[in-house]
Amino acid sequence: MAQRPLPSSRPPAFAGRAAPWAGIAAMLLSACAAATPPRDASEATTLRVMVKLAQPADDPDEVVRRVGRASGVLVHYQSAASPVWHAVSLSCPPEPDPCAQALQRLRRDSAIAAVEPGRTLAPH
Amino acid sequence: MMKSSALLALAAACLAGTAALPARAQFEQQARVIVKYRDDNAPAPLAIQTQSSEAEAGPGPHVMRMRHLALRAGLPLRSGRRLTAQSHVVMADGMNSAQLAEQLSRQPGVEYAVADRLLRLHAAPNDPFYTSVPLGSGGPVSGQWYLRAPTSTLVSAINMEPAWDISIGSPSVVVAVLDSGIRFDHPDLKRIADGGNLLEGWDFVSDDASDSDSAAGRDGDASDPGDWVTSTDLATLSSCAGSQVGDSSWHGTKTAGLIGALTHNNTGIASVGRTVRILPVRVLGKCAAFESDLIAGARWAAGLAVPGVPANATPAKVLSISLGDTGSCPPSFRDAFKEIADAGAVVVSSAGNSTGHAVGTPANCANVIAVSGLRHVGTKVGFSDLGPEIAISAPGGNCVNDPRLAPCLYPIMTTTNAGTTTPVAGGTYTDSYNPSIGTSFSAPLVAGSAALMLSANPRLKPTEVLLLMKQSARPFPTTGAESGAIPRCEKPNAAGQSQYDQLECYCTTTTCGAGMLDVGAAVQLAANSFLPRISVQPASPVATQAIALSAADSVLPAGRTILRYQWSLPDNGGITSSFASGADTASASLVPSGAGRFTVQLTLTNDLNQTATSTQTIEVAAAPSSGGGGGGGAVQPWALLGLLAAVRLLRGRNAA
Repeated sequence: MAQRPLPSSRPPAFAGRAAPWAGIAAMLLSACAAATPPRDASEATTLRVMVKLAQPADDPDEVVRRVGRASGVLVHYQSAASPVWHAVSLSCPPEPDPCAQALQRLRRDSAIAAVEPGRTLAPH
Repeated sequence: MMKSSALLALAAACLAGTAALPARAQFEQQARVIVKYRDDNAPAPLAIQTQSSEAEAGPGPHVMRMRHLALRAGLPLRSGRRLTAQSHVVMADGMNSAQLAEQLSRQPGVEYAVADRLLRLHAAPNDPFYTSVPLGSGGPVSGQWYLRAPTSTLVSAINMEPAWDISIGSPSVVVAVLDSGIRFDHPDLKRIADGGNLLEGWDFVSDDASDSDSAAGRDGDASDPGDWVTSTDLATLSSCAGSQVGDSSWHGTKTAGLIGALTHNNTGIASVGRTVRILPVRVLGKCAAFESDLIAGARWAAGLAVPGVPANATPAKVLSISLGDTGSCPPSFRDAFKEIADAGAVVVSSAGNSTGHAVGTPANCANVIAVSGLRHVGTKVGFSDLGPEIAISAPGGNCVNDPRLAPCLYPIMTTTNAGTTTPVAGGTYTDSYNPSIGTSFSAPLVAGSAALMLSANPRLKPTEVLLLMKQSARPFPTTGAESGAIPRCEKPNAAGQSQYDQLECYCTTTTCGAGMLDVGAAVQLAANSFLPRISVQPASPVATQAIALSAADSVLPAGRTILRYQWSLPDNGGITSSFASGADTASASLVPSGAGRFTVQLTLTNDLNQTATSTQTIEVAAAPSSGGGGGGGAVQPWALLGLLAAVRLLRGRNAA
């Protein structure tokens, strides 16, 4: 599955707001980010999470857009579990507790119904 | 003559139809039923011809009665052995015994008609490994001990043969195996087109880095390319954190073989489900499966939508999962398994192999049948996890000897591949020197059992399958362990809390589920289940509106009819006091006076005077504010307005 980055520069206050210019700004930032990886990408901490969208989405780009908008960090799409549950990776800037703020923003955003850490299952 | 010709033509058609069926299908299409007639006057002889399988010196009274019966039922019956003055064996082709018994039971003059199980095959399958494998051929000498009848030594054996007497599996029952994929080229598995039970399935492994196949992302090839782990994998793959370098496991081929390996084919092993279909759903790449891939695969298997994946044309009624993680059931699993249960599929999952710690997830989720592992003597096998989430226990394989030093004595034999990395041609089997042990192998035994129960009675709901499986389970032993003082199993602490290992221990119903799986008893119960079901309309009742209750969806044993219905209100919740109608008929109705909840009970009595009871608690919401007052009884003003609008709409359409 192709990875679709979103910029991490969006301020938290922007997350989850449906301002009229939000869509255009997101598109611009998205296009910009696709062409130019973020400066701190090499230092970023990646966290795989499962997100439950408040409204279903089948399109990975749409999922990345919503999660990116809500988390304020770079988002890579991983896979769909259902129309509402999707696995994504958050690329968080280096900080003492990486991705903590992004997760907090996700949990507060009305577009995101639930967030949980991604997990793997081993054969028994 | 017309009738006689029609009967003969029907018989010929049935015979012609069965001639083309494979042997196993024919087994299901030859009905033998014991019929007992009521003790009344024998009917006058009829001038019709029927087939008889025994030489008759003139038709006896039972043959004459059978001819009457054949005529009334419109079935090409054949008379078999006479048992008493009033009973004999009746046979027919083109249906199974349960179907014939059901049809004949309805006929006047028939006291009962039951499947002639005593006269049907009660033979072990001819698969050579079923009974024993010489150690020189790899063993185990115990063969497929876990499938056979329990004995004083093989206490936990799951007793397959009585189950197979009732059903050898229906091809319409699909079991999804969510695992590492499958080897379609194993001679004891095979695709349907090649004479096997394997559907094509789907590959849900989305992470290309941990996937050894050549296709990017998810794809339609569920074959197992191998999941060997190298030191490079350990260093680079997120799914391999904490794993070890190792050969390919062929885990999915092993678990699937227990459910659907070709059986009675003079080859290899027998399986629990015999002729049920296997849907391979590949979710496990190298080292581990991502949760998102497991959820996607499980949803797809049950016929639910998954973005980017075509719909599943053969939804599964049973899902077998032999994977897990520690910790509680996450919301994503809760959502998925609720939807899958609502879709009508049974989910079975292994407890885990953390040596007696808390049950892992998804086995600890609601709507999942959690399975722990037993030793051959019926005690909990050392590696198995346990706890109150466990529904039932089944053999998980145990060696007695150290398998590194001596042959494993009681492994779970199954299908595998000899390739250490990529697969090699053909297939082989696990044995005493390459043993399969783990709760991974307990879960498929239960999944296969559920599939046979659904083959015997396709109307069962997932909760009913679980209920009957628990009811039919054999009690755990409290003595008999091979070595010294074995403790009683104790409830483990929750995941994340300190927990000592619990090796072999005596199971209890609070640690290892309802008991030891007994497939023979479970399938017998399923085939003869008498389950009252209460249907409620509307689904979300509202105060002061009529609620219709129906028993029409109840499940009856084959051939039985309901004599009595009895509705009652063991807890009226203070919102209803009596039935408005039908307290003793198949449908009843009542009108709750306000919001709240009440409990309704349905007791059915069948024509054998057996009774069964079901209760259901019904939530009643407050009536919407009408704004207009008035509106007594069950009809609200807004409902009348809606009705009026609908009538106008219909009139308008008719006028157009």
